[in-house]
Amino acid sequence: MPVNVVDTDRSASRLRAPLTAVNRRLSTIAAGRAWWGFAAFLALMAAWAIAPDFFAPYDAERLDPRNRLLGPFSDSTLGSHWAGTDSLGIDLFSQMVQGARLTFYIAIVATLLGTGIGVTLGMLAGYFGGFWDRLIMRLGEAQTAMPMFLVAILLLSLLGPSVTILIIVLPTLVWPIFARVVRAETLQIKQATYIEAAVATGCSTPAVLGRHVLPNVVPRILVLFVVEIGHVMLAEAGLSFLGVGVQPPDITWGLLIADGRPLLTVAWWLTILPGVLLSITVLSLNILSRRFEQYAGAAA
Amino acid sequence: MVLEVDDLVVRFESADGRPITAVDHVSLRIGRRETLGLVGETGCGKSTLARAALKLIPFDEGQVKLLGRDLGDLGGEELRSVRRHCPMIFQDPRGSLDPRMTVGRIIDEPLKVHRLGDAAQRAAQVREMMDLVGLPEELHGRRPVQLSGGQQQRVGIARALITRPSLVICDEPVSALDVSIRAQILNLLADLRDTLDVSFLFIAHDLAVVRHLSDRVAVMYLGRIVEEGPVERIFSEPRHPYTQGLVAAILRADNQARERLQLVDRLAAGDLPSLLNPPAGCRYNSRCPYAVDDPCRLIPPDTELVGDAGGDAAGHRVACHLHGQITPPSSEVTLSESWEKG
Amino acid sequence: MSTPLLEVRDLCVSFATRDGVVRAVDGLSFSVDAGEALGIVGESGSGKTVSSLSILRLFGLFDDVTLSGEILFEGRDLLRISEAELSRIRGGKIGMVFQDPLTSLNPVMPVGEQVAESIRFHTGATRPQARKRAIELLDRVGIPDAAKRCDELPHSFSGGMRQRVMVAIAIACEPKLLIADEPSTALDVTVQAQILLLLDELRRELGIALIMITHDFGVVAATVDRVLVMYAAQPMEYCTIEHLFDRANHPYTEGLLRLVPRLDHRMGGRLRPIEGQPPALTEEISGCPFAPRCGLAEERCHNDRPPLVRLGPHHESACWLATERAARLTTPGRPWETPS
Repeated sequence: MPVNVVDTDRSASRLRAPLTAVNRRLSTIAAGRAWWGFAAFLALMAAWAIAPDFFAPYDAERLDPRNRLLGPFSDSTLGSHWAGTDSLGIDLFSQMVQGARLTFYIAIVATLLGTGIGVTLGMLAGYFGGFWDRLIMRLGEAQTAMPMFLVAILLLSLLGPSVTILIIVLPTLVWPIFARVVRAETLQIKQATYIEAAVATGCSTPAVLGRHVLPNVVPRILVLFVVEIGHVMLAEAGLSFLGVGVQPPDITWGLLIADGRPLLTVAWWLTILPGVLLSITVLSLNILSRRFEQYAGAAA
Repeated sequence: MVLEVDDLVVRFESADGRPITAVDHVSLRIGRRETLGLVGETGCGKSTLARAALKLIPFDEGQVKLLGRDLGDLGGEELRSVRRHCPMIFQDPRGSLDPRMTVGRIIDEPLKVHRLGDAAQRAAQVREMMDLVGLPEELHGRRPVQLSGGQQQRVGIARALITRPSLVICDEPVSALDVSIRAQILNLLADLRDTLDVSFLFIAHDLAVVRHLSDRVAVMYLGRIVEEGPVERIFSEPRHPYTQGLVAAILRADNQARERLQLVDRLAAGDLPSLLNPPAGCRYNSRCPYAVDDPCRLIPPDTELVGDAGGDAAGHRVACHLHGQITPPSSEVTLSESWEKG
Repeated sequence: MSTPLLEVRDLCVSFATRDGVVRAVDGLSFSVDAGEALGIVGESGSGKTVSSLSILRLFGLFDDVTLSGEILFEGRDLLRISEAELSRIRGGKIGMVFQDPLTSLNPVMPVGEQVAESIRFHTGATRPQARKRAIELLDRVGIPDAAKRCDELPHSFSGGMRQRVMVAIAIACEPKLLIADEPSTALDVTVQAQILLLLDELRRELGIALIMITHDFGVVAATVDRVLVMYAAQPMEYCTIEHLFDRANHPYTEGLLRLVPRLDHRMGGRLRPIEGQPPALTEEISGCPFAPRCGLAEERCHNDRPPLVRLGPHHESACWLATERAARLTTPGRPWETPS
């Protein structure tokens, strides 16, 4: 699992705490022109997810026992398989294209749910303080302290693995992060005179939260949202890898990695290629979020 | 009366749990189209008083009536709807504007909150108000950061006045502005006071600023009002030693500036005492050059009418045991002499 | 005439920022004799603070700063000496007092120690010596009960008392020059009077030269001998304090003076503000920077930068109309006091 460095400091974009070398490197990439490349890559992945049939050269469900475990850049009777084939003779590239949809779907929907819960609770905790603050933050801490991954495995094995359950379980991994960041932001914003001005104008509390607090935390949420998609994507891959996530015949990149693992010594591409794809996607999301952050920092 | 505050008390708890009385039995009246200047130094409770008078923060004792309605009984929805009659203008012009909103939306917000008029009517009103406060129309779509300090404060003023309120609370509206911009804003407020049917509570930390706008001035010290009266009387015949100090502290550009500083130093010696541990008796006794043990350090002074009491509202009141005995020494007479000239 | 204590010649300071090059000080010259007090007056962004920071090269926050000109202090050019040499002068021969005493003091060090630290660094005094001297100084600047309170942390002091501590640090090493940057602006009016009086007393008593940086003519009126008025990074007018009241020459100075409260102003009367906004410092200004807001501006004012016109031994004005206006104002009087 990657370690997500979540800065709760508001001035983080200007006065950064000492960054690790990797972190600094990523920020440099984001600040330069190369971020375009990563954005383009994500756009391509999105296109795969939206129209897989257009990009996949072959049917991803069609078995072809004669062409099992073909290496990358080999040809079969059907044509060329630049990413090779799996143990059932299915074209790996086509599976990767087909897998993009569910991978993104699960990650985005689960992150959205987590964001919704986290932002709402974080804003309430920050704005009202006192009892609600303590309750919500303790809840988040408890969740962070518990090995949620194990809890997820337990839940999924009890309830039976399914995409729906996965989408319900995964948000529990991310909401505390959103709640913490949004709470810290809200505490800051609450002090601003424009909040007092809104109250003095006669705004109701929901109006103050919705019209003045929320829009001012949106930039932070957006940045975090993009990073967390990658985070959730990795978690889903992990769960699928352990056999409690997505089940065949559905395909996700995580599942492809899991399926390829027993054959790692004979057919490395089955694990490595989806793995590389997943890694680049997560990296791109990370860089894009940094770009957002830098942009938001410059605008402020 | 637009605002009637009677015996208002606001208490806080300090960080270590000790009680602080920030506003201590204060009474105020603001009539229709009247401007009251409320002057005092940091921590004297003037901002707390203003906020408690609007019930933006709760008060512990006393009564507040806005346009004849007792705010003590109001809550929730009713209290919110009253707010359209008593908006505020803040010290920090930039901080008081939501950075994510455009100028047009900021000015429109009170209308929207109180559901006054449809979209077209509101847009017309916003344009009219922008014109009234001297904001060029092209600023309508800009964000606060793109505006200068003076323009930001004009937006704050427009937002306050768009609901045609009866009372506007101005919390040090020009303190954060540069001298040349400050005068522009003061003139604008004076114009609005003259053309609109509105009262102002004008809070400031020095007397110089309130002079141009106020009909009456109240001077606050450590949670109490020590002197209140018509503006010309406060400047020409300040009775309380603290008020005399504040009058002398108005920095003027002439060759008696140093003498006046010495006068301030004598009339308001030392530091403001802590609200956690206010002096017994008259709260000003620790800084007052005239203070005597009995009664100043024993009994809190009552507020008494002084001079030619021409009716209740015009009354000049002072809370000082010795107000009849204090006559400013000769060097201090310059204060009133130069005043008389004008 | 002996050489002045501090002489600034044609100082220019600019910063490279994201929005372009900011000219913070543009062609500033002035001098201060020993024991003399000079006021630098201007609004925010006028360059008054930057000029004082340049004297000690205190540009922690700005890396891309370009300085030119000369700053001669006791005959040495402070812009061209080493950082080590300069650090002996800072706090030693030149003391500084800033606007915000809270951020200028170390919050976790007792105030007495902060005064003593400066003494030890600059004079090599021993710890007990420095402490004794620190207590004397705190007492001198009016901290009651100095011997006891010197062991307290800054947060237990009021704003005025903290500023007194800052003054104690600034005068700890018997400086020749004290630079006070809005020393009383953050304070309450009665406390402001106390601090200004203190600075004035110390200057007279110890013979320190004073540069008082402020936006307020009232402050300079009470504390200085000569005044330099700045606007948009440029010097506008330079004169003695008597000249300022009697024959202010520059239209900008006149405009500001109109805004200084005077008791003979009609109550409730309208102020006569200077209309418009000061220019952005990133803008290229070809003429007089004040021309767009000046009621008297002619064509040449917009096109050519006016020179500093010498009107007397201690009076200069950067205005194309300076001589003309001076001639009109030779009769004593206060033209800016005509009722509105």
